[in-house]
Order: sequence, then C-alpha cells, then structure tokens
Amino acid sequence: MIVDDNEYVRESVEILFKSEGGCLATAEGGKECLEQLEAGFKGVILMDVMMPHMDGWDTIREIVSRGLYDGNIIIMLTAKREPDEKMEEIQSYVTDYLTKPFNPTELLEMASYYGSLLKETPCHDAA
Amino acid sequence: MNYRQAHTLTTVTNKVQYMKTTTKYILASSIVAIMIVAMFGGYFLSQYQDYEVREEQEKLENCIRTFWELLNHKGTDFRVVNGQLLAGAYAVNGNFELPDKVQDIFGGVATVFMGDERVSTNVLNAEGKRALGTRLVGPAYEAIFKQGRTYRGVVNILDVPYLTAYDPIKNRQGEVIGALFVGIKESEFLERMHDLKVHLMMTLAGMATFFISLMVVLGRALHQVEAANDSQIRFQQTLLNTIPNPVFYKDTDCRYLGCNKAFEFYAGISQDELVGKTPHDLWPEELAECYLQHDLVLLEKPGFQGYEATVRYADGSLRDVIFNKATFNGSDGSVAGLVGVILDITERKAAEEATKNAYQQLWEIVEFLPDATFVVDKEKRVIAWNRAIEKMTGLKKEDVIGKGDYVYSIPFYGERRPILIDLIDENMDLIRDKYAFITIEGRTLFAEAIIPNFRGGADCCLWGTATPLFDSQGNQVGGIQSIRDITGYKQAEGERLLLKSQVDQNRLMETIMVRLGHDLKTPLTPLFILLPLIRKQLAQPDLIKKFDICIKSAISIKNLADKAAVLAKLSFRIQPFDAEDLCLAAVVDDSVLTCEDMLGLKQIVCQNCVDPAVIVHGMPGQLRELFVNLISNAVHFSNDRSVITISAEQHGNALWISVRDEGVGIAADHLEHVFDELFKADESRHDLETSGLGLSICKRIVLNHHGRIWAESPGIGQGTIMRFTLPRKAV
Amino acid sequence: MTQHNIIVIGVSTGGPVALRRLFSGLPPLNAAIIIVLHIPQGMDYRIAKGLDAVSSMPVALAEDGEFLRSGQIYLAPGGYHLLLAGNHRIVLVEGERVNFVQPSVNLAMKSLTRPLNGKIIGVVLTGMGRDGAEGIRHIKAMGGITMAQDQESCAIFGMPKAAAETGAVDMVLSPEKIGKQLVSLLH
Repeated sequence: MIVDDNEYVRESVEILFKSEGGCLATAEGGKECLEQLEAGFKGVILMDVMMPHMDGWDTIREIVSRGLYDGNIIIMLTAKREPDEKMEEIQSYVTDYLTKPFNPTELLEMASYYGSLLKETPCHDAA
Repeated sequence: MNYRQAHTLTTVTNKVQYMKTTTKYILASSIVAIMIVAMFGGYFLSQYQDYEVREEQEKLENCIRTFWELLNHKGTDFRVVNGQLLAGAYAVNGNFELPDKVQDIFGGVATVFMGDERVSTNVLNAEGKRALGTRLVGPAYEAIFKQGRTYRGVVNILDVPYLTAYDPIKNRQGEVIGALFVGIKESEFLERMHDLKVHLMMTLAGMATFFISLMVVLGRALHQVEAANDSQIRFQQTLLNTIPNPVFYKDTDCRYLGCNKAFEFYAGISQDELVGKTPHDLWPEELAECYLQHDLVLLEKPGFQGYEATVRYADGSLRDVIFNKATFNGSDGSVAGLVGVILDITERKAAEEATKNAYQQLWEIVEFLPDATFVVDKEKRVIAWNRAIEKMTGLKKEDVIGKGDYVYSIPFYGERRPILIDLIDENMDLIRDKYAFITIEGRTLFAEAIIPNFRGGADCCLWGTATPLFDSQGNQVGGIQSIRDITGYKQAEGERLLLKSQVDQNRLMETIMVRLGHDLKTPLTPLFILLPLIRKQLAQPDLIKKFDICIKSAISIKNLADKAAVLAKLSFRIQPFDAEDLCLAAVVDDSVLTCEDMLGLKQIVCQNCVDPAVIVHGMPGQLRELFVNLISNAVHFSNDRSVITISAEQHGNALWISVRDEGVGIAADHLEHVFDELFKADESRHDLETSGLGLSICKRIVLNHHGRIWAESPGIGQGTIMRFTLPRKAV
Repeated sequence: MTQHNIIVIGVSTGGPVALRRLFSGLPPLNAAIIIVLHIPQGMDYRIAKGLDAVSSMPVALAEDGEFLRSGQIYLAPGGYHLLLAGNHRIVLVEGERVNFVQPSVNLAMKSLTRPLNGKIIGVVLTGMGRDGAEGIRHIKAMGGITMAQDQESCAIFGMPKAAAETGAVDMVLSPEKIGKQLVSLLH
C-alpha cells in the first residue's frame, strides 16, 4: 500500500508495481490508510512523511496504538535526508526509509524483500 | 590727635553746641509759653470774675430794689413807734412776709433792721431759726449808721460769706432808723471761680512738666551724642584697620596724617612714626617723586585719581598695585588733604597671565586638532584656523584670521554665505536645505553636507559640528566649528550596506534552495519511476536517445536538489562548532574508501600522503564530506589512470591541506570563481553529472572551520591544486 | 575457556536491507555475531529468517542464557534488552526502553568487557537517532575495532553519524566494504 497525498506519486508507484505483476493499494492520507488497515490489509506500507491533516509519523502512532501494526512493514518515504529527531520514539516501527525521488528498482527490491519477510512464520528452532 | 580725629571731633563738638543752643531755645520758648498761658489764663480769669461779679451785683441791686418796692408798697413813712418799726401802718417787727417774698424771688436772704437789730429776717442762726434780735456789725454798720450811706460788699453772716447790699432806712427827718439787707450766698460763685483757677493751674503745671521733661531728654541726648563721638572715632579707625588694602591720608603739604594697619605693614613703620613725614622721608627717591607728582596733580585738580605702580613691600616682596587717591574737604569746604588706597593686583595680574597662557595652550590644542577646526568671535571674525583646516581648504591662517563676513565659507561653497557655525543663533530654516542632514543637541549643531567638486575635485561629504563658546559669566563670546571629511566613511558605509544586502540576499537564496531541494523531490518521484518504465517500451533508437536525455536531466535535477539541500543546510543552519581533535590521515582514508567506486571506474589512484601524526581540530562528518567532494571533483576533471594526491603541510600556525590532480586544470581568470555557487568551469556545456555546488559545499565547510580555501592551477591541462587551511588545535 | 571474536552490530531503520547487503556473499566468519536491531516484537523472527536466507552463517533469535558460538549470527529479539555476560553468554532482560528503544545497542555494547584474547568489533549501521554511539566509544576504549556505515549507503545517516562524531570510529564504509573489512580482520 502506498500512502501519499500526491496523486502522481501514487499513480506512478501503482503503475510500477503493476508492470512487475504486483498489486498495490493506495491511500491519499493517514485516515484512508487506517481505514484499509481496519478493513484487514496486511503487507508493506509505503508511507509519505509530509502529508496534510495527519502526517506519516502520526499515522504510525495511530497504527501502533490501534494494534494494527502486526503483520505489516512500514517504509517511510521522504524528501528529507534526515528525519526529525523527535520521531525517534517510534523508530522501531519504521523498518526502512526511502528518500524521494527513489530509484524504482530499489523500491521494488525493497518491497519484494520485505514482502517475502512478511510471509515468514514464527519459528523457534532456527538455531 | 590726627587730623581725621580732629576733624571728627570738631564735627561732633559743633553738633553738641548746636544741640545745646537748640535746647536753650526750647527752654526759653517754653518759659515764654508758660508765661503767656499764665497771663492769658489770669486775664481770662479776672475778666470772667468781673463779669460774674457784675452779674451778681446786678442781681443784688435788683434784689434790694425789689425789697424796697415791696416795703414801699406797705408804706413809705418809716418810724419807730414803741420799739416797733412801722412802714406807714405796716408793722415790720416779727413780720416775715417781705423778706421771705424776696427770698422766693431771688434766693439768698433778706433782713430788715430796726436800728442795728434784725427785726424781720430769714437769715438762719446755727440752730436753724430766724436770727431775730441779732445786730449788724462790721463795715456795713459803719457805713449805714455812721456815714448814713449804702454798703455793698462781702460780709460774713453767721460765718457764711455773703455778697451783701445794705440800704439805710430813714424817717421823714432823714434820720437813719434802720436798714434793709439782701445777701446772696457767695459760695457758689466762688466755687466756680475756684474750679477755673484749678484748671488753669493744672494746665500750667502740665505745660511746665512737659517742657521740663523735654529739657531733661534733650540734656541726656546731648550726653549720648558726646559718648557716641568717642566710639565713632574708634570705629572709624577699626574700620580702616579692617580694610586689607593699605589706606593713608595726607594734608595739602603731602605730609602723612595717618594710615591703617595694612599701610603700616606695607610701609613697615607704625602710624605714629608716619605722621608728619613726606614721601621723600619714606620712599626711594624715584618712587617718592612719582607719588609727590601725582599728589600735586590731584591737589591742583581736586577729585579722583588712579594709577598703577610696582612697589616693594616692607617684607621685600615686589607687588603690582593700583593707587586710588581722592581729595577731601575741610569743614570750610576747601581742600584739606587727600586719601589714598593701595590695591594689590599682583594676584590678579598673575591670573591674567595664567589666563593668557591657558588661551595660548588652547590655541595650540585647536591648532593641532586632527579635525579641521576654526573659531570665531562674537562678530563672526575668525580668531583661530588650525592646520587641519588649512590642509583641507588650502586657505592659510594669515588669509583668514581676523576676517569676518563669512570668509570661512568661501573654500567650501565658493561664496560668502552663512554656514553651520552661523546657525547656532540664527534661523535654521535659512540654510537647512543646503544640508543632507542636520540636527541639534543642546547648543551643538551636527550636520552633513555634500560639497560638489570640492576644491575642484570629486564630490565630498563633510560632517560638521558647531557649538557656541561662552565666557565664565555665560555670555556667548563666539563659536567653534569642526569639519570632517567623511567621504571615505560614507563609501565604506555604502559598501557595508551593500554587503549586508548581499548577505540578506544569500539568506533568501539559501531558503529558496532548501525549499526547492525538498519540493523538487516529490514531483521528481513519478519521473524516476515512470521514465525507466517508458524507456523499456521504446524501440526506436533515436527516441531512446532523446529519452535518455530526459532521464539524465531528471537525474541532474535530483543531484542539484540534493546538493542544494546540503549546501543550504551547511550554511543556513546555525552550526554549533562541535569540533574535536581528529587524525587527519584517518579522515582522508575514510573519504578515499567512500570514493573507491568512483576512483575504480576511471582507474585513478588516490594517494594519501598525510602524516598520521597530524591532528586537526574539526567536525568529522563535515571534513569527510569535504574530502569526498574534493576527491569527486578531482576525479571528475581527471583523465583515466591519473593520480590524485592528498597532502598536508605546516604553514605557520595553520595547516595547509591540498588535493592535487593531474586533470584539465583551471583558467587563471576562473580560479576565483570556482567556489561560487553554481559555477561550472565549462559554461558552454550542460554538464549533467555535476551540480556546480560541490565546491561551494567545500567552501562552506572550510569556512565553518574558520579556514579558507582556494584553487591553484598552472594553467589549462596542467592539473589543479585545491588548498584549504584547518586549525590545528582547539579554537 | 577459549575467548571468541565477537562482532556486535547495532542497526535500526533501513536495517534489514543493510544487513542483507552486509551478509550476502559473506563467507563464514570466525566470530560470534550479535545483531541488535531496533525492532518490535513479532517482526524479529521475520528478519532473522530473511537474513538467514542470504547469509552463509546461520541466523537465529538470541535466547536468554545461550552461550555464544563462533560462526553463528544472533538477532536480539524485540521487547528485551540484550546483554552479554562475561563476553560469552546471552542475557535477555526486560525493562524500560532506553532512548525509546528496546533492545538498545548501547546497553549491549557496554556490557562487553576487555577481552583476554580475541577481537571485539563494533559496527553501527543505518538508523535513526544516536543509539550505538556510546557503545562504540566503549568498544574503542577497550581496544576494539569500530566501524560505521557511510552516509551514501544509509537509509538514515543518524546512528552512524552520531557514532562517527564521537571520533571513536575507525572506518566509515558501505555495508559491502564493512563485510570485506570483517573478513580481512578475522582472517
């Protein structure tokens, strides 16, 4: 799922994924993202940081506090190279970070890797 | 006794005599007054008494006449028959009708005598009964019975004084056979007279007391005046002695009559010794003659005289003095002598000298003031024109000093006109327009004026201050003006403002760059995603070629945005100088490692020649960025298989670090500009792989380390050396 | 008892990818490798499995009381702080988050003591915040070797930057180069 207020970003990412035979849900803000999670979405979430009304960090806080985190991996998308330090408190829930404009190949690799991780099941005899 | 005392005494004696005379006059006139009052009083009293007596006598005559009328009415034939007095047939004896009637009408008493015996009366005896049978005695008896005539007079009747009238009663034969009597008690009349006399006496006594008192008072006053005279003489001498200036007086022969203590000190002799001496007896010949001449001139032309002289005091000190002399007149009005006062003006002269010296020093200070300065007097004539203003205007002192009529404005304005110093006490509006700026603080004016073609040269900006000068009494005695050429300062100020605006502009630019850096990235995202997707679908080679240009452009936009953001961050944010001591060689190693891929691509070798012992003070992150940028830059402009050398050497207190390449080099006229934002060495070509910001970032980092960075190049194609300095120890 | 070479890797945001880059194609190393990744519970095993798939060395979630073995990669589980007792036994403790994180890189690194023999290597990879900087300083002070990921390859150059700014980092490199360095150091 991509969460971004910019329509072209959403659409281009969607085209990218479809061209690779994947599928992508889109949400134009934190509110829509939460609605889809409530509706049962599980997967990799590409979260834009700078969004009107509810920014990426607030959306993550809301996801965690509503217990919707499990089974998802969150990758932040941002134009800034460095995040605000005050967001450290939820850094554990931000698995990765991509700086715009990202390399599509990199995005695809990341998405497929994290997507594959999500398919893993708990196993305690790995050692 | 000296003259002054004598003179004083004469005056006083005259006064006393005058007073005595006055007292005598008063005394005499008082006595006369008393006498006159007494005489008039007596006269008035006697007149009054006469009048009163006449009144009483008239009343008495009326009274006795009425008695006669009444008696004659009874009968006119008086005779004594059988021891009874008869009037006609009317028996008088024991009959009180007539006397009582008289008493009713007139008051008083009335009696009828038969012979000398009272036979009808209302005179009462001591027991209060009618005094019948008593007899007439005294002068009345004598007159009636011996001389046969009437009697008038004061008679004591039964010890009471009466004003009386006695008439004889005669028979037909003319023989006195009895008498008629009326009397008015004299007491009332006398009491009135007595009262008057008492009043008169009291008035006289009062007057006498007044005059006597007056004389006593005058006498005492006279005594006091005599006493006062004594103290006045003492007072005057004390007064003289109290005067700190020597005072003396001489007679018309120029002989000293007396002096005060100060004079005694001055002359070194006592007053007693002085009296009677002439100047020649006391002073050196020359001085004495001088005094004498002055004295004589004064005596010839009485009045006042003053002259200066230098005298030697008895204590040996030489003093500048002023002699003030004046004649005085005797009691007859003719010139009696002269008085002199000596004023010691040594201190005053010294003070004048000191003031003169102070002024001299002041002039010297003004003369050497670094600012062009001139001073004018009250009439606006130039009284000081210092070196600085000579230099500024080219006008020499001798051409200006003592001149007025706005001579000082000529070098500035080429005409005679009021300037700043004239505004001190004149209407500011007159020439306000001629100043770029003018203000007043207290009494001091400040102004800035632009003088076009000053002394035939360039326009000049002058800063002037003018202030009035006052003497110690607060009177305005002139003014002082200073002029400074602030043209250079103004230019510097202009440059400073320009610089400031540039800094502001840079700030604005940085802000825009930060915004641009961030905001470009979002719209670039779809490009980055979609362009490669589209390219995959392209088949025509020329289309692919065109499309690649688009992709490269997008990449270059991204690079630009990235670097702009970095540069803006480095320069715009207030960077805490979070420095620490670092091993420079290790930092270079890190940076070279980072650039390994880039170097490998062109097979360029990067040599780290930095001594591992070199420790620098800096921010590791920024220094790494600095080296990476410099290496990237060097790689970019180097040929394949060339060498990049990084080295450090000590230069004084600073460390010079250089990154040397064997690349294309930089044209001399570009050396200064390579660190400018967005400067690219090859301006004609759109270099898509460099942002043009790399070296700007380097410059910013070096500046953040309080160092400087510059480029050196022997010329095009001969390689480049980028040098910068770093502090060695903590700053 | 034989002293192991120990590698402690601290990492956060962007960690899974960086770790994959680091361990892909890396030959087995003569060291026990402990990875402290800021991660919530329920996520840890996925990372371990993902890493295990690309690494020549086995990767597992660290368990309390486990003794370290060379050639094994231990991933600190989410929700616990991982400490090393005596440089050879894993201790998992519950407790307060340190600087908003659990496990904490600093706690893990600072639990190490100066080894009698064997090398201690501290690595800080991509991540938000400053965790690991103190730990790196500690390892450096003990005579260990320290590395940090370079800015270019970092998803977030926060933790490596903080570590590098302590001045206690020996090398700043990309994950691949860190791998090469590890190989050469432990050869």
